This record gives sequence, structure tokens and C-alpha cells, in this order.
Amino acid sequence: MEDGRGELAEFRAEVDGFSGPFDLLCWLVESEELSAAEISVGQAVRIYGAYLANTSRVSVSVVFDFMLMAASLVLNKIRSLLPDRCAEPDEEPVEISASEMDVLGRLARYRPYRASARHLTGLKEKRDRLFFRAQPDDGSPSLFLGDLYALCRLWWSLAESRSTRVAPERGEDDYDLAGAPTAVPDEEQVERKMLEILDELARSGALSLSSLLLGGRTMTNLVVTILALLEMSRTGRVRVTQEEQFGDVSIVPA
Amino acid sequence: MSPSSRPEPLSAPARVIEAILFVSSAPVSAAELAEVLSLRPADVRAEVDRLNEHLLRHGHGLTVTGSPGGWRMATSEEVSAAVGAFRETSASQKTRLSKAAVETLAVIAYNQPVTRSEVEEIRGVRCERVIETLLSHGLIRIAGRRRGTGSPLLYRTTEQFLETFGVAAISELPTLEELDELAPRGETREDMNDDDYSE
Repeated sequence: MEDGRGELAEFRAEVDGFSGPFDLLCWLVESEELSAAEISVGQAVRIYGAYLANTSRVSVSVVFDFMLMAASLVLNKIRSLLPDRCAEPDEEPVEISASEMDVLGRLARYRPYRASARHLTGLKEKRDRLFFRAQPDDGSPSLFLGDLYALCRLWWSLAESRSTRVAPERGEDDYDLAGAPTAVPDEEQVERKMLEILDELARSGALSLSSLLLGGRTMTNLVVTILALLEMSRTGRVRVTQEEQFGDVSIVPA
Repeated sequence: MSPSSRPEPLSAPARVIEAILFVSSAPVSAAELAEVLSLRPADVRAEVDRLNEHLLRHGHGLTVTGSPGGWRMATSEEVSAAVGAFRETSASQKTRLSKAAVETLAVIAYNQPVTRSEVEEIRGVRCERVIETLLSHGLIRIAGRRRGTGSPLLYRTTEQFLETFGVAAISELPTLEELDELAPRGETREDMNDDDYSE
């Protein structure tokens, strides 16, 4: 769903100064608009509604989070208002329910992080007022060793830029890491090498392994050449001999 | 100028440190300075403090500031407006963070390595997008996976985080207990909004 989903994915709204339901509840408690022990759901929703009315932008997820919190508060209130079936008639009423304690506990746990965010904001403001000698840009991409996320991002951006240059019309489904050399199947490589060796034998009559490897001293070339010789020896097309231990290998037509 | 009002000259090591920090574009560590000056790192620290005190006392436009990896010469806060107008701010100084982003950073900084669900549990709100933003700014990084159900990703703050907030190490940040004690209990909403950054 390119159009609708794409639009939804891009849709984002931020409410200034609000970073979650705990943040709002903390503020309400701290500004003494609500008692920490008796959070009034109606009051909280009313204040929040007024707050939202003052802003033209609101995120659906922000409303969802707050409503979830409000719902849990409503549940707490219902529990505290209804008589406890197990409670003794002369028992002292419980001032704060377990759920309320949970909410308050979570708020207490959250509060220092909120304070640390304020502290960090102050540090950043201070830092932003300092200027340093500009560091020379050597153009090389910086990578944090072990940071797979950064590595993947770099790789995909390189692959993407390459694919845009090579095949701009390429779709996402047939994306094949354009730019990387196309792998040649092992069998095909060995076949090619066998034909190459037979041609060479037809021309010169005899060959040595060292002369065959002169073309390219790579591991791939060595493996492919050995496999080709073994296959040709097995099928009786060449004869492979070694006169002395660790000496050169001679190849002649069978 | 009378001899009595003449500024006290810097010590020879402090002058060398000043010159090295002036020419260096990257932080210079205590070990590097100690090697050049043939001093112990503790003595280098004392000389840096002396230099900074000298710059401050005599109203210089420069100051020495700690960074991850060492010290750097920076412009003093008093001249920031003029320097800012003169020079276009660097990319790192353009990083603007929302209140939610700074709060998420705080949770990660104090609990690292930490999973996204642990951050969400503390903040009481989903943090997927915020974490993506922090990753893209290079302020946090993925630091492996937690063993257990689902093997969730673990997040850590980066050197870029320390650089952005002007601290040399995480240990320089006050503890959560200290922050909780200092946290105001009767602030207004407007006060809080003054601290905000827009993303």
C-alpha cells in the first residue's frame, strides 16, 4: 500500500513540552494541581483536554498513551470506591490501593530521569555556546568498530548510490546488491579452465603447473586449476605426473 | 600599566599546553601532554587547571574544556554570540533534540546497556521513533543483544553523546539520587517548556 501506508508512516506530530503520560502526571503532581495520593481522573482529563485545545497538533499515539493511563486510573478509582468483598466491616479503609501504589511507584522511578533530561538539556545549551577549531574532514567515513547498525547503513547507502547510477529503474523486489561482481558458478569456472588448458596443450604439447598458474596467483585460480586438472585426469584427457617430491607438475595430453 | 596590575605570567608547561591546544583540532590527552612535557599526568592536569584559571581571571575569549579523549581549546561563553554570528555553527552544534529524545537519552545513559522495552517501561510511552532518531544522530549505538526471549537489541550512548553534552565521561554525570534530590517539586509548565528543544 504505497500511498496510504506511506503517508501514515510519514505522519508525525509532536506536542511541545510533552513527552509522555508520566511526564504530564508528574507535572500535575509537582505543580500541586493534583494530589499524589488521590489523582483525580476527571481533573487530569479536563486539564489535559484544555492543554490539547491550546495546540493545533496532536499525535494519535500521544492521545492513546494518555487514555491508557487515564483508563488505568479509572480502574483504580472504581476499585477504591467499591466495597472490598473480603474486607472486615470494622477494618480501616485502605488509603492508597495497590494499583495506585504501582502508578506512584512508577512515577517515583520516572522522576529522576526527567530531572536528568533537564540536566542534560542544560549541559547541551552550555555546550552549544562553545566553539572549537574545526576538525579537518579527510572524507573517509567514520565507523564505530562493532557497530553493525552503522556498518549496515553505510553498506546500504553505497549499494543504493551504485544501483541508482547503474540501474535507476530497478525496483525494490529485484534488488540484487547492484555493484557487486556477479558470482560465476564453480562448475562454469572449472569448465572454462579445462578448455583453456586443452587449448594450451594443443598449441605447446606439454605444460607445467607453474606455467599454468602464472596467469594469476590467486587462491581462486589455484583451486580452479587443480580442480580442472583432476577432472581432466579422471576423464582421461590429460596425464599428470610429478618427477620428484615438491617438484613441478607436468601435464601432457593422454 | 603599573607593575602590580600586570598579569602574572603563565608557567612554562602551561604556556606549552596552551600552544598545543591552540593548534590541535582534536582533543589532546593527559598522556600526550605528559610525554611532550616530560611530566606526570597528574602534574599536567594541575597545569591545565592553572591555564584555565589564568584564562578566566584575565578575561580571555578562550577556555580549556574537557572532552572524551582529552582537552580542547574552545571559545568562552561570554563571546559565544559574536563567534556564532561570525562562524556558521558546525553540524554537531545544529543537532536539535526534542524533550522526549533527551529524556530517552537520559534513560539509556543511566541504564546502559538497555533494551527498548526497558526504556519504554520507565518512560511509560513507546520510544521506537525516538530511538531511531537518536541512532541516526549517532548519539546512541546498538551494543549487541540481550540473551533471553526475543534477544532484544541493547543500546548504549556513544562518544558523540558525550561530545554533544560536553562531558568527558558518563561518570561525570550526577547520579539519579542526586538529581532526584535537586528536582524541583513545584515548577510550572512554562518553566519546563523553556528547557525544550524542537526536533
